[in-house]
Amino acid sequence: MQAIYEYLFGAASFVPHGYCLAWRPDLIAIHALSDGVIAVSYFSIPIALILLLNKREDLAFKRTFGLFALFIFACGVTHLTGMIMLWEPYYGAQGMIKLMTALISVITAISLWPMLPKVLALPGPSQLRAMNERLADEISDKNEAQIQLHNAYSQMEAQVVARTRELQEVNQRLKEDVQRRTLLEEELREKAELLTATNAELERFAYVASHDLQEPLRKIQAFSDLLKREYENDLPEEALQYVLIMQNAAHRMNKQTKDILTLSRLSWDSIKFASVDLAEVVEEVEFDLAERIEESGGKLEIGDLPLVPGDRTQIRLLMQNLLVNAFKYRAADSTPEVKVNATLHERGAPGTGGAYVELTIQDNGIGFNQEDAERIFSIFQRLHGRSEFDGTGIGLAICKKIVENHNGAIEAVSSRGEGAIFKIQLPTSQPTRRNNDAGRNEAI
Amino acid sequence: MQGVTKRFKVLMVDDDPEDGVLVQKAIASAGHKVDFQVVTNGAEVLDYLFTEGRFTDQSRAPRPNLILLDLNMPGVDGFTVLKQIKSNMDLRRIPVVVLTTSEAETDIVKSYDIGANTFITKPTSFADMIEVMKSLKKYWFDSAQLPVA
Repeated sequence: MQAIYEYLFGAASFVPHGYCLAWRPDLIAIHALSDGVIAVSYFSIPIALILLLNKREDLAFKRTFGLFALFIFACGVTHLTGMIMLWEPYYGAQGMIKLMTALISVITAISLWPMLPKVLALPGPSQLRAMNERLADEISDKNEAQIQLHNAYSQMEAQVVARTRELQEVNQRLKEDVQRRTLLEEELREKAELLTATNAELERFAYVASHDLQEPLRKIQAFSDLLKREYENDLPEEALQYVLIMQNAAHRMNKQTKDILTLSRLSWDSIKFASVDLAEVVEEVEFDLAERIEESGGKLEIGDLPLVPGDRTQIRLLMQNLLVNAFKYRAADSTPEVKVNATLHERGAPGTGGAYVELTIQDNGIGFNQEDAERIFSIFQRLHGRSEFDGTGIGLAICKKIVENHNGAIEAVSSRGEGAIFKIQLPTSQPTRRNNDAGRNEAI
Repeated sequence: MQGVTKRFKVLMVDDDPEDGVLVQKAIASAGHKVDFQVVTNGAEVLDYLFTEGRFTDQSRAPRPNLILLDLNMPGVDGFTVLKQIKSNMDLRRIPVVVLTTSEAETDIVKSYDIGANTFITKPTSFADMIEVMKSLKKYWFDSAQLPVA
């Protein structure tokens, strides 16, 4: 210990530095003052650096800052020892301190070099300023954008509110529309039901009326027959003539009520669809009309006729009415020629657009004006007086009803004096059953 | 053969007395001699056949050989009468001819279902009525064998 102390502070053999300066007060003063001031200054720098380090935690190169602080502090100590050396010759200690300072300096210097590129990479103040300005610009841009965004947002919000209100209004209107429509539909349904009921009632009325009318009519006929039969010899010729007129009238009315009855039954009775052989039906009708055809000297040509789904009784009635008409409406001196034909069509059936059979009944009779072609299918519509052609005016209405019952269509094509063609379209497939009274079809 | 000793008895059931006259006249015009009796409602014919009410005296209600039955009658209708007749072990053997204004398929089917022997729609002319009576006579009086009682 003694040796170390001696080495560091052994002043026996040395003289203070002041001695070298010959103790000249001015030199001593300059050196001492300078060293002192330098030391104080050097000590203040590390304090400032440490304070800086403490305050700025984000500072880059902290360790270097520390080294620098130490290095400057060491330099300060060196100058302080230099000042002390003026009066005390502790050259060992000063040497040690200088050595320490040298070491710190070297380390600091060495640590400084590798840092250089990094420090250089750090943006300089002008760069920073530019960056700052850019940033400021960007910030102001962003602020502006934000403001715009906010404005847009506010605008959008206002639009959304307006739009929502509009939508609500539209919705409300739609709701009202739907309500109105529902009400209208309800009304329509009720009306349709009422109409169906009225129609049904009307048809029932026609049925009952014609049925009940037949009863007194039958009496008129039967008792006028009886009157004629039992009192033929007692009555004057004129009275017998009156009875005959009564009988004819009653007979006509009987036919009419029967036809009305048939027509209303066509609306009432349900139809059971079965395969009907049109050839067979027409043959039967031909047989029934044989006398009439023979009497007129006319002829009936029947082409190939297919099977169709239908109600046999109704189809027979249809063919009978049409053939009777075809032979009936002819000029007095002419020979009736009637042709019945059928063609199959793959599509275009009324309503469904499916396959159908077109049946044509063509005659060479008196025909009618084409403008009357629709009218003739209405009930009680007659184109001729009773004295010309006998008839009830119901036959074609019956035909139309039958075709409608078969989901088909009927039309007449003619011109006066040129004969007439009746075209009937009958679908080749039908529901199994049709309930007229219920107004609905049961599908197959 | 019974016609030789006894007259054929026809009972007509019809609420319309005029039709009774017509049928009677038609039978006469057809040249038949029959015992013809008319009752004008369903309840009465049941009394007649079951000898009840005003027909308890059987001599007033001789058992008919043929019944002409109208369908549409107020109160007890023809179908009910037909049902009563055809469900009685004794009366069911009497042939019943339904003679009505109806031509309806449903009436025809129902009548035969219950057991009517024939269904005829009343003809509109008197001449036709005579024809009907002639054919009824020919079939039921002359051709068909009916039980004696």
